[in-house]
Amino acid sequence: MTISEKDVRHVADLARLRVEEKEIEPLVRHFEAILGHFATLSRAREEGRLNLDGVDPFLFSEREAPPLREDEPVRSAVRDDVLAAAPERKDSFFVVPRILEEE
Amino acid sequence: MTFRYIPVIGLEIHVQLSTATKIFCPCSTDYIGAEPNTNVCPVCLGLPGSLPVLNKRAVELGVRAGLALSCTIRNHTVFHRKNYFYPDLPKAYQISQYDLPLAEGGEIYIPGDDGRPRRIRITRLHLEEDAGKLVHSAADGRLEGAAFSFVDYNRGGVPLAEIVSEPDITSPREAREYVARIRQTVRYLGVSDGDMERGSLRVDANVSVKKTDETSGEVLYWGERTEIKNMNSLRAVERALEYEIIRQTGVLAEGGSLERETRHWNDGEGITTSMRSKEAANDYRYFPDPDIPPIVVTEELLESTRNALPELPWAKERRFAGEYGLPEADAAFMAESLPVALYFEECVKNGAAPLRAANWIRTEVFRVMNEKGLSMDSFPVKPSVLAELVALVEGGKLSTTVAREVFAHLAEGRSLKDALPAAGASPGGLSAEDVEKMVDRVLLANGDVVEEIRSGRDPKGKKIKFLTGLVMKEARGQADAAAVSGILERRLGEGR
Ligand SMILES: [Zn+2]
Repeated sequence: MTISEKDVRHVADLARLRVEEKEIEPLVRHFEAILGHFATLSRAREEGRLNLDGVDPFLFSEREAPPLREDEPVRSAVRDDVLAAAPERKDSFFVVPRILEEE
Repeated sequence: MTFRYIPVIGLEIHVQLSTATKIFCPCSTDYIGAEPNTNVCPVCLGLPGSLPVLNKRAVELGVRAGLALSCTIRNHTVFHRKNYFYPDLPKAYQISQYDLPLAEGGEIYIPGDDGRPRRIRITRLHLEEDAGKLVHSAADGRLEGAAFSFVDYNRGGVPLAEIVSEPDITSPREAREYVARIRQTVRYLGVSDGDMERGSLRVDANVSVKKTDETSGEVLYWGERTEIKNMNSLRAVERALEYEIIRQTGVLAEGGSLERETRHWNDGEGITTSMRSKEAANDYRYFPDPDIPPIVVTEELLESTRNALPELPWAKERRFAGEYGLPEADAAFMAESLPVALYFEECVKNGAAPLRAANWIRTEVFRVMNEKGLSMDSFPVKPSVLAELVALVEGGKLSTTVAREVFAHLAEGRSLKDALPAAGASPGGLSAEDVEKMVDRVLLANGDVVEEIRSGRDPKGKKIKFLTGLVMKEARGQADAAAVSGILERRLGEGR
């Protein structure tokens, strides 16, 4: 599994993380170690040392289907507190830096 | 070599499900006109520690729509996180579905460009949450051009079903037909109000153009596709696609190339413009939402939903054409919406002749509804009353002209008993006997004309028309002209 510095920068970008130049190289090694672990498992499976026939991917720790909620409205009292805690607000709007995708 | 440019269109339609509460929290979905950020809670504001709990009704409505579109419903369906940063999304991910959607592999038929039914395959239907709303200028307008946007999360978390078609649509007109069919279907099902202007049905179109060899049909070049957003009416869908296909064809014809991009439909100017988005850099990194274990759709739910499906629009159209002998266009019109279909059938059940009832609904009922801004449900003339009026016309007791006046009075809220004299008609209209008597009088007073007709000196039927006119005059317009000339023909034939 080869990870490039570019990959690390891309992932950091997607997660909106600022990564210092000196942190990049160690992160490359961390990524490679983690992905390398899974590559080992994949290889074991390919070579027949790990039999996963009939085993579904394990996605959830809960085995039970979750209960569903009835469609009945409940009003939350949290709003005023949240607005009061907002870095910036105008009346009952949250205010954010202007974003316009359209040209 | 001559070239032919063929458009390829696929649509993604988001419909807002008609639930009372949001998809993962019990906040009200009633966001239109609500004060900003009133229907919010820790879940839909994405506060740490909050847990989403799926709305049962949203699943039921999704299953209902999926079944109506002939999809296969998964018995285990999974919600994924779609990760991206945007201020309308407080969690920095949208809960959506990825490779295990609720429903897959459906189809719907639309009237194709060649007039024959065309099958449009449905790739999938999945559930997801809506985002909040960004307002770019304050109500007073003073912040126009300012460095800020305003966020309202009332819409955030409202349940949506996204219906994705295969790229089976080959023209802007077909795209419009497809959207209309989907909208009609979700309305029939009570799954969504399908209001495009208010955004409860939103259409994104993927369109590309293939450059082919006119003679061999060989595809020489397939342009990159663009995604068009912001089409808020059926007309806008058609116009935006027409514009975009011409634009793309123009680029390809000049030997240019197209880039994959998102374009914004500007309805006022009638053009699409590129959205300079960070979308190119978007990499949603979908993964199963660990807060929401797989949802089980039980056999019972499938069975009860299937059994409770209403008669669907296309089935109703076929039945109206078959059972009532309506022409195709009339059948489609009467089945266009559930309230109209109910009104029409109620009329017929009350004794109105189906074709005449359909004509009255198409013309008079819709005219008054449009003029007064009424809906079918609140229409003042009950179907049983329209049926009575239609029966009077059918029986030749009332001319269409007078019946229209009577109808205008009915639409003002009068009863039929009051509306008839108000329009100058005798209560209950003229009896068949009355009409026969009038015919008698006219025949008696015009013996010379009768003689001429009987001896075959009326090849063009002008004289019989003249007699019809006299009877109509006598009836003061309350008789139906066609019925009167029918009686006249019969009587003139008798003495021959
Ligand atoms: Zn909420």
